[in-house]
Amino acid sequence: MLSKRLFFFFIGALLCLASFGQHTLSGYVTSESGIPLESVDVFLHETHVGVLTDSNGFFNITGVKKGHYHLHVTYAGYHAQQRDIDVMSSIDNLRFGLEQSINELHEVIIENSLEKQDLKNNPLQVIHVDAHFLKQQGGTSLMTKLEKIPGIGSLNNGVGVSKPALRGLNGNRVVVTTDGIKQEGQQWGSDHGLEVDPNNADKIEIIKGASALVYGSDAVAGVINIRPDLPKGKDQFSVGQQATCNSLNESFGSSTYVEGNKGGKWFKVRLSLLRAGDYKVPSDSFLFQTTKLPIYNNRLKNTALDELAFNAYLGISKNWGYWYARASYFTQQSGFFSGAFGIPSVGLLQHDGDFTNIDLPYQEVNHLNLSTHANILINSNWLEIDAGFQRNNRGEVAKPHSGAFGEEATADNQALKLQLNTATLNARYFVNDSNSKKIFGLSGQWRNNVIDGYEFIIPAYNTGLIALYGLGKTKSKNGWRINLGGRAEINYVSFDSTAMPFYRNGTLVGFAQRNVVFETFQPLWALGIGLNKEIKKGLFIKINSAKTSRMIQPNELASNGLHHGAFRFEKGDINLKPETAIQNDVSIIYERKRWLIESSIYGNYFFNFVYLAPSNQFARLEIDGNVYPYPEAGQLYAYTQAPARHYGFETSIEYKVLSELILYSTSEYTEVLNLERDEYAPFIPPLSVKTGLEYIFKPNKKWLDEIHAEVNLGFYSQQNRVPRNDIPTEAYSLVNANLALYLKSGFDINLAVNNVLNTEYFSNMSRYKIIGIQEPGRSVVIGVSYKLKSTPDPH
Amino acid sequence: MLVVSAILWGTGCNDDNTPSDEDKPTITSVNFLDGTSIQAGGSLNVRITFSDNMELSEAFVEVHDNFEGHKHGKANLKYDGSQILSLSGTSADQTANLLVPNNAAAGPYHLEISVLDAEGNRSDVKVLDFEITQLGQPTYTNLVEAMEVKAGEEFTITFTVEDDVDLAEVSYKLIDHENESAAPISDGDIDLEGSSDLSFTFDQKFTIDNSVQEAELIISTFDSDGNLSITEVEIDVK
Repeated sequence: MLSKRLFFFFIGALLCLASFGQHTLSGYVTSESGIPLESVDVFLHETHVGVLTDSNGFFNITGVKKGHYHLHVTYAGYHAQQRDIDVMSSIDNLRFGLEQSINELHEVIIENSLEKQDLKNNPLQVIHVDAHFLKQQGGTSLMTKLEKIPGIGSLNNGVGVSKPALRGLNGNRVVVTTDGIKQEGQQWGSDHGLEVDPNNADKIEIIKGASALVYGSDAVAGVINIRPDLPKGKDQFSVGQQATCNSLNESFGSSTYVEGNKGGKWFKVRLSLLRAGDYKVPSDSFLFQTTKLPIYNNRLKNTALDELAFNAYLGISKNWGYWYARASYFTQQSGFFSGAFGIPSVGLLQHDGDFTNIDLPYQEVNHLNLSTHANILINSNWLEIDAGFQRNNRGEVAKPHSGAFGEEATADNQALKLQLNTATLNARYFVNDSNSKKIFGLSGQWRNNVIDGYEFIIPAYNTGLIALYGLGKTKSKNGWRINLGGRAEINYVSFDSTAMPFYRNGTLVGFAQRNVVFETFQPLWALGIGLNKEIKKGLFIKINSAKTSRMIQPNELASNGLHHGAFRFEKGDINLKPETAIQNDVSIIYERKRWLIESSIYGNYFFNFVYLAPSNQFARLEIDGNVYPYPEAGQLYAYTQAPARHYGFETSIEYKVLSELILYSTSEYTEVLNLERDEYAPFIPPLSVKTGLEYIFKPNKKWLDEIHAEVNLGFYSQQNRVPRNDIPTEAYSLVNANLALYLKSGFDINLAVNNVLNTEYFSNMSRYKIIGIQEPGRSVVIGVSYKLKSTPDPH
Repeated sequence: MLVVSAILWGTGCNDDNTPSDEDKPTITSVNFLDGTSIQAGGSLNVRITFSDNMELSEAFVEVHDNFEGHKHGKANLKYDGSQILSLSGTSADQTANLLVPNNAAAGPYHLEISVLDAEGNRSDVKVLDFEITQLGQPTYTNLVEAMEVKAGEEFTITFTVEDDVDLAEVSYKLIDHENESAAPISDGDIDLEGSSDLSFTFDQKFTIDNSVQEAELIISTFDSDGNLSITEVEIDVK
């Protein structure tokens, strides 16, 4: 009884507090020359409240409590602005003069990152893209759509499965977050794609370079933050639908969403579907080692895929902050090319009469994500909390290659079945003083991996981590912004031993121990310093230096099996030590008048880079002291550590030839050299230069809002810097083109042609290179989307 | 930190850049006739010579079936034999001895050979085909191995297949000889499981249109012991 009374007292007190001291933020948004801008999106980040300016450029946000805030002001065609505002009482004289932007990548989103830093104030190179950019690009997956941006690539397994690569690094060295929570889904595997609905990725932020302080020890090469657009304007309701077809695999994709916001209570639901058939390659044969094998009708047998994704959000915005919950489910079934499992033969490649079926062998993946997100005002400062649970199921269904596994185990053809459960908790507390900002963070994660199937690659394991970090931002007298941070964490990894039966010619030879019992605590720390300054008007310099340590993941410690995705037998080593590195970046940005130039160089030194070294032994199992060759596995690749150098650059130059016409050129180079063996790392993109013309025109037509057209010529040099037993790739050129029409009726029409010249080439970033499969030829992508909104679009 | 890394960078650069050995070892000769038949219970003795510019490490000789995923019966088993050979020096001559068990299922098999050098460089895989035979495997009688047919006209192929224990399945695939990766012109399976069939008479009608000049009917028969017998009929289309 007493507790009930106390409860009501507490609630009452909270309500009193809530209604106490409400302020108003108002002001005007104009162009630089003072012309009022209408329908500009003004967004109060901390409470997730957005308003639009009226015809006088006036905006008004009411019900704001005392505290530190920052406002985002975004308008298409103009540089977004963000401003820190300390609200002590109502402010009615906010003025924003927006500068016209020459680069569309810079305009729409201000920030996405957990550090709440905008592009120019972040000491690292940060790139933002929005849904418009993604729709314009004709790639078949989220990652291939981002490849126009220097430093970003993808490791591809055919066309449906692609995983992010930043500056040539991938897997355990790249962090992907969705809604602020690190995605966990066996990302170590080169054949494991990203379980994210590309249609739900309205805002993507890519941070290039060491980001371990906030994002965790895996963020060696950088971070990809993916977020949806959530309804922020009060009392709005909208529905949208888009459909996309791609001639490459005769795919049809559809995505529908409904969202609404009524007085600060909001929701969003999105359902996406994709069906794709076997994809096409320019050649009708491929050369596996010395054998020429047919590709019937230029389509790679059994590369069809099916995908379904569902995302639901429910949230509330109040003057104390916001809260929202998310539930998402992604499922994909994709066939493995029949020639990519074991040694290909003509019989296996014979057409089965259907280009859309998914036959054995195939991969089945699903990913469930449940999370809750809150931002709470505490004494003028903000506490952000992201907590979530993820369940990732990954299965490989294939007929056994040999009799080594026994009849019973192989009855259902389930080769691999991995279930990874992850619980995450991230909390960040932002403290603002007059001349400095501080972030104190806590990160926690627990993972539990369960295994099944007749094959073995990684053990069942548990891992845990607890990390504390602090990041301070201040400004020196001579104008340098200084970021200084540190992180300390403890990682826990444990697994039990696994024994798998081994048969030879129908007789059980015994049980082979595939991994031993193991438990470790890995303490790690990281330190980082970042400097940036606007040296002259429009000229920015950014310097970042960090000491990082990456946790050794269970696959590096205890893999011991045939990884079909990588065509090799991989063996871990429990003696590996955390991967320590010193990472440095320097970036220069120049933006004046018609020019936008960005350039970054980086040089990272790894004291003990973890890599898969080709050993001088064939894969084998040991049972009762006897050694048995592992069937169809070939060479043993062992996880090993050696000092390594990782360095490279990215540049991007844009020049506005006319007010509607932009000429751009980007280039990138990266290299990872193992200093002990004097050997390069695999899957490193070659030196490339991409030059393009972009035409953005707003005609004065009743029905047409904007035209966007682009042609891009990419030159990729040969790649001879490959590890032993890998195949160098030749130089090639690619032409891509796209056209987008934005109609006033709410329709967007996108047309893209990839590989216009139907160039036949091999990519060093493709897993299929090793079996002699070329990259896709010319393809046409058509997309139509429609959006119906109850209030005008801020666009 | 910048200073520290600059120093490390420097030490990295001073490494003596002796080019590491990236030359692949090679399989110089294999004393094995492609397409050989071997009776179950016998042994495969394959004499192989290897060479490398620096130092050889290991060779791997492996046998596995070429049944393309099909399987029948329990008595006989698809044979997987393998052997790792330890090598040294820049050239080596070794014989792999692989015993084919008495209960190895009859049918087509692959023999694969690859070799590694001491640095981990790997040769291409050498693939050879051979056949394992069993006295009790299905046998074909009254089969015409080559025939001539007219485009667009129906024709019949008939033969008898016999087994000493029990036939399990007869499958056929009529393919365009020029375009082997295209879907078969005609294919099918005849399931004979359940009853004891010592003999089966195949009698099927086919028609081939004039887009095909040369066709091939591939007939595969499993007995209930798991033995596979494959035969072919060459069809010339006029």
